[in-house]
Amino acid sequence: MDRREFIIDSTIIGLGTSLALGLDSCRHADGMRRWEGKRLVILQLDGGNDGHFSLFNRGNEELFKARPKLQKSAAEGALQVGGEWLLNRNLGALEEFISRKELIFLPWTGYPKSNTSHFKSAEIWESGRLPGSSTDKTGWLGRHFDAVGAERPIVSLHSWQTLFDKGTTSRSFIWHDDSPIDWYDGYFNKAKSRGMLPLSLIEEYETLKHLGSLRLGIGFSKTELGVQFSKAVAVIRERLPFKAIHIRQGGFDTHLGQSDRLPSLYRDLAYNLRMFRRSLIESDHWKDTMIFVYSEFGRTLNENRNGGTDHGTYGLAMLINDRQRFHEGLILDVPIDYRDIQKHLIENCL
Amino acid sequence: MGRLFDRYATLNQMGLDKEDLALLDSIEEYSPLEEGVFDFAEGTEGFEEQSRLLRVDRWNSLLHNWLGKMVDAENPLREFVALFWHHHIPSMTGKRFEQAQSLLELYRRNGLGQLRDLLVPMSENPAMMYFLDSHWSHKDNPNENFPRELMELFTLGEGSYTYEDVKEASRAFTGRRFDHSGPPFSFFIDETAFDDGEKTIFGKTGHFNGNDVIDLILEKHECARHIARSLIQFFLTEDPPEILVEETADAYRGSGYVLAEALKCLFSHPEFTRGNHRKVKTPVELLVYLQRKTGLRIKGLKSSKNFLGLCGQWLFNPPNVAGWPKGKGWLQGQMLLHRIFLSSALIEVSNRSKSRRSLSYRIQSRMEKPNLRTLRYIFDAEFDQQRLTERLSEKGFSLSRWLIGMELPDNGLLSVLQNMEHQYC
Repeated sequence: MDRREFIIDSTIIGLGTSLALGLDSCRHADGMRRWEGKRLVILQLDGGNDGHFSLFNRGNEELFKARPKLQKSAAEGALQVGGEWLLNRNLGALEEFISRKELIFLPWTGYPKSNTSHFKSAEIWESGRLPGSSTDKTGWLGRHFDAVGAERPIVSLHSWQTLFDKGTTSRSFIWHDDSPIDWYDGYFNKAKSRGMLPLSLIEEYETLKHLGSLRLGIGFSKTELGVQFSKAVAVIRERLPFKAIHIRQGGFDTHLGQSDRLPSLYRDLAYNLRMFRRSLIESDHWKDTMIFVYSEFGRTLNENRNGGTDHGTYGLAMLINDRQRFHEGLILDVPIDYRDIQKHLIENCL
Repeated sequence: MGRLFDRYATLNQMGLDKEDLALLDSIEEYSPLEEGVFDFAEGTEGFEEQSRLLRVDRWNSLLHNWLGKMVDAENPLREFVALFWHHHIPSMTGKRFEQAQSLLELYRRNGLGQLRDLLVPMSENPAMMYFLDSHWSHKDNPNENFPRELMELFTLGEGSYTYEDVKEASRAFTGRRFDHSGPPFSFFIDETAFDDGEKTIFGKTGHFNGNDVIDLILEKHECARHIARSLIQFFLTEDPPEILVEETADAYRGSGYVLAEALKCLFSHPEFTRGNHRKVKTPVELLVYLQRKTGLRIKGLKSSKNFLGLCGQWLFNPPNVAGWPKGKGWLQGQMLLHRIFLSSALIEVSNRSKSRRSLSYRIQSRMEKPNLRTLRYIFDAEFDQQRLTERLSEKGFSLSRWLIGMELPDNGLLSVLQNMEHQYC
């Protein structure tokens, strides 16, 4: 091959490579790729949210009989959202989604022979498998991204360990605390120049530095949930190459004092979801963003003597901005296997 | 490249180089942790100021002293076993300082002894009762939280009990209360709230109470196996060989659930002494190891807490009832970067002047880069480079061999501390 042929071949290969990577995934001057496609935000309500306290049918006599105090509290000022269905007033900010038909409630989401252990049930949800079906410790999203060959397509904005993003090759990026790392710039640069650091650590450092420099979303609450949403806005606005964003809100394991604890969590949840929507509309990213909200299980029908409930089975899930419509109406009032939702998300949102 | 401390690799986390089994023959006598750390003599102005701070900051001073024992004790095994129990049976601090203090002292006092002598007082401890809502459980609506976690996480593990066992056990744990008015927060049973009816648990029927449930749990071999596995994950490897789990469990149960006996079996097992297992150091182990091996000493009450917090571990504030991450769960995100570089930073900012108002401190901090100035403010430590050099000379080791068990071309202290091997033991 002569020099001219080499140059032509190299040019073709270079162009081909760029095209193969896709125009929506090109590298910018800061070294990071960009992503312009669809994104999925997974919001996990930790501890087992009481779906009956969030959304309930006023005609459900069994419910009101089993938990007279709790349901009386839930019904105070509740919003009518469709037929006989009432939404806890503390979730009132979700009306912005409901009025635009951007929200689907799935009040009976779970799996057969429910497990009432937090960890086991969370593992069942995160792995996308029922017990006994496999021994590999991978998650439903991790396996999907393994299959499509994406390496670090998920960012977790909290510090808790989860399984859903674990794959054989793909793994999530953790961006959960705001402690400064520029303290270590001197050490990092020196170690890097001496070739002492593995590539993975260099990538971790440089990515975290870049994330730390982003302008976060504004207007969110100052709670842990609000901070996570403000970071999610930053990630999406900057078009960073994370196709899935994992957020968690804790505090839903209400064995006692449920009427006191859940309202503030609901207000925080609904407010931040609404701010998230408005922020992404402003940056023109809402059309490509979908949110899936779920909890590892629901709560018992009966209230206990301590004003709380215990671990239950099927619980409330929500699909927000699902343009492929898992369900046409507002509320799908039948038992849903969580794996069907995961399948829908993979096929239509990722 | 082999590791130097093949026989002692696992106990490397404690920064020791002694014979493993000798640790069990020379366990330090239990004595309660002191609350105060006094740098000033009584009657001086500094003493008054420090007393005032300590009244406000009792918890930090207690943790500082606990960590100090891990660093300074000739045989820190008692403290590390207490740390194991805090990992295995985590709790938050409760509503008052004395509640968590009593739980910590329980782990230190009874941690090496019989399991029943740990589980029964643990179940009555106010910090634990607050953590798992067992102080409100009533016969009309038994609370399942504590009995579930007792079986699933603390003793038996998933698959060794049924939901019916949890429900019945929750009846046995009703009526448990403690005196909220103040220390010692005495435990008592409210007979009007206790369900004294017949219960069937693990196939046995009787008028069981909470202590009886613990006895029923101890009859099951799964309990020994579950705790043995957790013990090996703490002291050896996150992925324990099954044969080691079984043999340690047999020794544990055979001894009547005496943890020292399980440790004897573990420390003398070929899987342990072969030295081909390793695990990621927890933040506490990272900090203690750094101090024991280099001679660095943390002085500030909050310095240890700041170090541990940045590396992802707030003692007595676990992320959830399952406790903290294991293994590579510690090596991610900012936690990883703090773990890699903070040890170096601590060395560099050590030996600051006692008073931040002093001229020498102000001059020093003005001459430094802002990041080091911040670190010097947050961390108060002392480091004697000369002493480390003398120690290495006595041992005949290079620094890299001493700290991470292998030779590196660059034996600079900061380079060795930033090597990924330093994260493992």
